[in-house]
Amino acid sequence: MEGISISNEDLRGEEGNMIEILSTDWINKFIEVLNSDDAYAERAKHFSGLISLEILPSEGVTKSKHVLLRLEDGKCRYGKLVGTLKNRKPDCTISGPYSTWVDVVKGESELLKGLFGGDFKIKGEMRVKRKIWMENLRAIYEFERIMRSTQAKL
Amino acid sequence: MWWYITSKVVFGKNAVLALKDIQGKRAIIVTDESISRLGLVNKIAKILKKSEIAVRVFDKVEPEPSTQTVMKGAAIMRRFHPDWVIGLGGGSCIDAAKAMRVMYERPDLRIEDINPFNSLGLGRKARLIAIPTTSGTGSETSCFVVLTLSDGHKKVAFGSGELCPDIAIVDPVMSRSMPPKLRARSGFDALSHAIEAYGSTWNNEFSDAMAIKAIQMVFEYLPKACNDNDPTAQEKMHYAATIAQMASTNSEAGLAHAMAHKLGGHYKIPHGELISVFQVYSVQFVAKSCPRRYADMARAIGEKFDSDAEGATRFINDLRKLIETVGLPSSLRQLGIDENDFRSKLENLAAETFVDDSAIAIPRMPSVQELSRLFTYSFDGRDIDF
Repeated sequence: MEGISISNEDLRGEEGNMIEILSTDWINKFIEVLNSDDAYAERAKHFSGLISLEILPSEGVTKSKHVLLRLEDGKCRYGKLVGTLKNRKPDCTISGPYSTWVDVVKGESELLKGLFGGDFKIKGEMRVKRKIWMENLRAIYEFERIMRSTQAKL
Repeated sequence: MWWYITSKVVFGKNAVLALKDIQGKRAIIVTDESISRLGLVNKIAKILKKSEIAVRVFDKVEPEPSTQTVMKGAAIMRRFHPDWVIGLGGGSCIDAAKAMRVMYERPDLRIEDINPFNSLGLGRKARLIAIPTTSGTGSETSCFVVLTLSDGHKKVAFGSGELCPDIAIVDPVMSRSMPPKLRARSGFDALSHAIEAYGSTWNNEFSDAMAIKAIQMVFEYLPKACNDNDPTAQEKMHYAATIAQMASTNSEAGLAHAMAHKLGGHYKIPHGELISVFQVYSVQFVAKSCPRRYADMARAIGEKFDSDAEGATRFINDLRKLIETVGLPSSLRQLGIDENDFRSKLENLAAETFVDDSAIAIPRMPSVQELSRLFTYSFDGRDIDF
């Protein structure tokens, strides 16, 4: 696996000993949940690429980090929390403050609404944004559902 | 974080005279041939010419405008270099003007790049004025355009906060020539914008205020505007349409619009008539699990009841009464759609509606299978029981 590992200490929040949201352990569980979800597989079957969830500093997280996910045909083939992208070029980056990601995972904010309103930004080529708008808005809801389902199973 | 986006609104009788105060050298009026024939294009051109603004007219916008028409208009703009783009007409003309303005200012983009994830950087070459001549779509204050893709069978909404016109001129004199049937379907479309905005999961305090006001105005004035030819009611409906879209564009459309967009791609039926069919069934479906917001709407139009479920039922009954009063259809069968043809398209319709970009903030999102049943029940005019 490529990338540098970040320990769970780096994403320690107020929950103390629980697995921290978007930490390495959390991401491993997320991949497990995503790969066993048929509804996600169906909705996201047309989206493949290296996705980065960029975590911007906020509330206890002092440096930007990236959750890199290789999504293919409705499955996640690879995932890792990294400190920098180095020479990796994600096809699409969804960027937002850590606290806002936590709100999404806890069901207190919506990822798609955040993308419309500006809490999150999509960085990437026009063609990728075009594809998300034209074909994959519902997949974003599925992605969000998997995040919440992951949290519920921890 | 959320935004409340709207145009600067100039309203009232003869509000079009505000055009004499705009600064610029060249303006292009985007409209259709029927608006030209009514003399409304000349009226606007005269005001502009008095301010020494050169005017060009593109009057080839068709109902449910195509992306090809948008590209043709944008090409003319690139030769004419307007500093004002004026959308004059119903929703089709204003939507076409909005999209043409983007493609004029940003020839490097594709139409599909008009989405909330891109910054369009508009306003460097031209600003946009919208003058509605119908009282329904509210496109003059919306951040969306609905276009028919090049295959001719798919209507898609494109959205960006930057699409909202700089100025909306809401002049009831401009809508006087609307025939009663057009008033009815346009007015019901406006009502749907308000209902779906208030019922949206993205509802917010700002859009709620506009939605409730618009709902009250439509229930009060639409019957008189259509059936009594009451000029005061027609004026109020012209404002109600704008107010309803101020709600919708800031909180999202809903299920009736998603279904109407997709069916409208397959059958050339006026959007407002499809909305009048789908609105009742979509509210019935959503209210089964989330009746509270519909009870609020019933309360706003004077209903009294003991529970949210009862309130939602009353609101649905009020919708049915309004549809009947203004002579709109209540089932797809009444629209003359061939049943066999409809059923052959059902599977695709349901799948397409599921991913429609109006179907992203619905409190009870139907599955593809449920959408198929919703279409079928809407065809037959049957109450939703699932």
